[in-house]
Amino acid sequence: MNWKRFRDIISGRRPDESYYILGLDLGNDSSSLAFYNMARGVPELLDISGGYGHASMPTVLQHIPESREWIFGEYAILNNDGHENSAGSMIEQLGVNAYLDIYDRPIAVSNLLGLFIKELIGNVRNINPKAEIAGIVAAVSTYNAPEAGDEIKRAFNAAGYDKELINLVSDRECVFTRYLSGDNPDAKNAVLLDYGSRELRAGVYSIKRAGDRFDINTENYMFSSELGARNIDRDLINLFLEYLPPRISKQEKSQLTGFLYQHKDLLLQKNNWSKPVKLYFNFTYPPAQATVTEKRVNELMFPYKERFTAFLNNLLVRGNIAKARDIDSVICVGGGFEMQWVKDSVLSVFGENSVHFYKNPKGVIAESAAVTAAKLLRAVRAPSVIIRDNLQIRVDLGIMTRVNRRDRFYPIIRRGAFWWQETGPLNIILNQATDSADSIKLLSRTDDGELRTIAIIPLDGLPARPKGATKLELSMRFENTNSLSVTVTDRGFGDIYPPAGYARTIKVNPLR
Amino acid sequence: MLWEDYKAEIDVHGLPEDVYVAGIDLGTTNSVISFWDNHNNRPEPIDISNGFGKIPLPSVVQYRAESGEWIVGEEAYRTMNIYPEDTIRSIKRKMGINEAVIINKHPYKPEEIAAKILTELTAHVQSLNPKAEVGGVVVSVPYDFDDAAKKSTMRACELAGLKEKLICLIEEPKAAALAYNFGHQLNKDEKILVFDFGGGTLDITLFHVAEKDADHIKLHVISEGGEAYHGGDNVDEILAEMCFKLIKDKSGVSEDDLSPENQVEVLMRARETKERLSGLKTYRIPFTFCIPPFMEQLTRDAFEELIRPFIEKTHKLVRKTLRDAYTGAVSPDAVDRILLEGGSSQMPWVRNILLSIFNDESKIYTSERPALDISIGATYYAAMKMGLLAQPDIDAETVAVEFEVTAPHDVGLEIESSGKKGFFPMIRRGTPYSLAKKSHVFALQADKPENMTRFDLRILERIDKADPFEKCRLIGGVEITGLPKRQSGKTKLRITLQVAEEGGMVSGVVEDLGMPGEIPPSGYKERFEPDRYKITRIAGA
Repeated sequence: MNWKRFRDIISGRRPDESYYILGLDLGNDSSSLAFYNMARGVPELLDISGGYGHASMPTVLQHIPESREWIFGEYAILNNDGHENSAGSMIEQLGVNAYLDIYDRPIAVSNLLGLFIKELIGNVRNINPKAEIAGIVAAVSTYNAPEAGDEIKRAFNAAGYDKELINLVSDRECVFTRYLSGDNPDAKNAVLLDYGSRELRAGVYSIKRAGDRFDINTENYMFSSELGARNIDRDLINLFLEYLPPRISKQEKSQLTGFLYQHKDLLLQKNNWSKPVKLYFNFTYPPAQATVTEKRVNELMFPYKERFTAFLNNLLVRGNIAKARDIDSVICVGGGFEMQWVKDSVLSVFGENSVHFYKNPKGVIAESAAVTAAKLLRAVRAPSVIIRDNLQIRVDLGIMTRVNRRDRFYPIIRRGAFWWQETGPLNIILNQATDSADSIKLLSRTDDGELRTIAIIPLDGLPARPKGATKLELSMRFENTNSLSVTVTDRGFGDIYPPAGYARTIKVNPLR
Repeated sequence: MLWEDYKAEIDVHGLPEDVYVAGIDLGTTNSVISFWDNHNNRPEPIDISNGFGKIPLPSVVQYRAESGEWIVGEEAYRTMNIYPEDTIRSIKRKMGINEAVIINKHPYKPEEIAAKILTELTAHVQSLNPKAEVGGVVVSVPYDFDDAAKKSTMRACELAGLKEKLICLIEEPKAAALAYNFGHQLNKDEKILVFDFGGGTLDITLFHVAEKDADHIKLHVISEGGEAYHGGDNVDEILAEMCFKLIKDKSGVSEDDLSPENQVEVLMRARETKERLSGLKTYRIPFTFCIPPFMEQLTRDAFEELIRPFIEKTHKLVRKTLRDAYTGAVSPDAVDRILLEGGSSQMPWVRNILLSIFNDESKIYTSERPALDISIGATYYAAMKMGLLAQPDIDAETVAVEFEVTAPHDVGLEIESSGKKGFFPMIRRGTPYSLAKKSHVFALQADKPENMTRFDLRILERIDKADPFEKCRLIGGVEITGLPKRQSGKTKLRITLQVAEEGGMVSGVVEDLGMPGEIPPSGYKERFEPDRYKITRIAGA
């Protein structure tokens, strides 16, 4: 049923436990589902394991051809036998219409994600067979391209929950909606740290309250993929391999992912090492054992810890924060905060008073999305949160291309990208002879579709070549929000027309 | 300090920051402790996994002779195959049975092992606050536990240093219903079947919401069934047996010839197979510890076929619970909701058999966190008893909860008539605990007056109403001495038995009535608490 109908049903009525207002956090590694408990007035994480294990569900699915079934989450991770039948890391592949090969059959990532969403939300009906999904907010990463959002909507459609989907809301907006409505409505500034599998992302924000609205300005935003928890996973697998015979079978190697899933917390979440941790590799032949000491784990984490502290200090410097203690709210979300050293590092930089750790850091975004959904359904009064971000590009930047005899704008840097995000170079073939092609126009496209020329890059100095025989590499890189460096380099055309050494760099202000 | 002293302090000053009120689910496979979170006004389970990423503590106890240390929980479970002879699991199944377990050549009583689990659980309260002290605790027991098993649990609490803190025992389905009630909206006249299927026990309890208004709810147990030794462990054993046969076929090694380490490895693989087949339709069991190593594929269908007798028994137990309701047989249509609790209820066939009985999928609910509900319910009960729910801030918890729990078994005396021993029921199953106090007057007879001064009483419990006298279980023997010396038949004794409202422990009173109209009472009136493993002696003033 459409969420707007539920909005009318819910508003102003006594809460009915059969209505579920859901918040969903689709993560690259694991996903969480939360519901807004109307009787208590709090979001609650829906524990996928029923309290027996991890509350979140690994974002993995697997196809079993013999029984023609799909299995999900922990079952899929632990059942990994090295065959090409598992789909993981789906979220980072959104936005480019990617396909994954499952037993040589290409399946669109959005369809696979649809199956996953259906399974995840299906847990609600397990708990309450009469459950009605009143509305869903799915939290999406701030840096996601708009195309990724389109694919997530397609996935909801495939899952059969498109009518219940209220909206996709940025993870930052969800977290601030919850934080400012309950945890600390008086915050004047905040650092939001989101430690996920792909990256550690951090922002410095100033907050102004205007009645029921919070205006939040982004003072600085940074990310580090080097610190992403997946790097730690890789190092741990290498650590496990140290204890195993040098030649282990492909099947045994594939079991390491499941083993890591079961043991990672044991090594990284301990805050009291009274004795070393023993690991038992029962899946190898012969079975192996290992004793991992606190010292060994500390050695492994040391480079991360150093980088993490440097990252936080850099964040404050770039955000023009003189002293870390000047920040009155440090909000810590994401599975990375399950690691003890991460918590310790944050406390050492910011001190105890301002830091806000959540009980289940992996589930905070889903819980916050549930609060946002409740707000949009008018089941709870929560403030509006408007995040202004001068660091995001507000127009598409690109060139005109000719496809099927028609001129088309081809975006190279998309609207919503951050200035510091890297964009790969684009190879273009000139559809004119070099003597008649005098320049390349760089264009911007606004929300309304209006095209404006922002720079003209002259092509003088290219040797004479016929139409279609000149390959140019066009790369763009922002030096800061106002300065875009554009470089065109001649790449020649095979052995017949080798590169002539032409390269031209210009700097433009795309916002002017 | 006694829990009553803490309560008195709470009544005046509220709950001190360092005092914790806790609820413990002492389970066959996993155990959980929760505490009352006074800031949020609700129970909060404590993560006792030492970083294993999950809250429940495996109820596994291990002794390591080389270091002389006791290991409890996940580490003990994962190393069962390394220390097979000194690792004890499922100790709950032995509670109340006077059978020692041998560890490092030393015999231990089941309650001594259970006490180690309780000690480990309560020690984790310190992880929340190093100054923490437990002010009061409620410990759960299966509904079907007999009197000796309950007493054994109490002794375990005593050994764990909780004697003064133990408020009472609570029946697991009652705890589950309490936890569910606080999180959900129950309606008047609803009938709720709590299907609590754990590692060791199946408890099936049918509740009736007898009264419900804005600030009061009364839950009445109208039927109780299940079996104390029917749980996930039984399924593991069947699977382990299948694995032993496979090993014999593939590598020629029989179960007896397998090393203790590998025998335990088989048990662990059996449990893993059961858990995996809850989500997969096919699972390849790795026998990497065998020579040569091999894999064996098991489908969910084949697994269910293997445990078919067990499934059918479960089916019968549900039917029997409906049939034997104290208020008369209840038809499946009259049950409004079935609540699945316990880890074993995650096996897909459980839902299927319930569907075949109740024929309506929309009645089958699963608890949000079945692993934690019992301890959460026990904590609610502890908070109620400590007066912490008197002025709560949250609407959902202002509702006063009243339970009418009934005695699960017949309780009575051993009598001899015409040289034949028999069971004389005094308190029948289904009697509400609040009414479970019955007296009966007996005339004492003996060959000579000297022998009228003493007699032996045996208190029995009949688990199933169809059980013959021989199958009745002894609650305890009482040796009564010091009665007046009179002629045979000239002493009338009033014997009263009572089942306590909290925890269901049996106690009694013997009172001399003299011979009405002929001999006045002597004033002999003694109270007793029977114990299966020692004779209780009462001698009068």
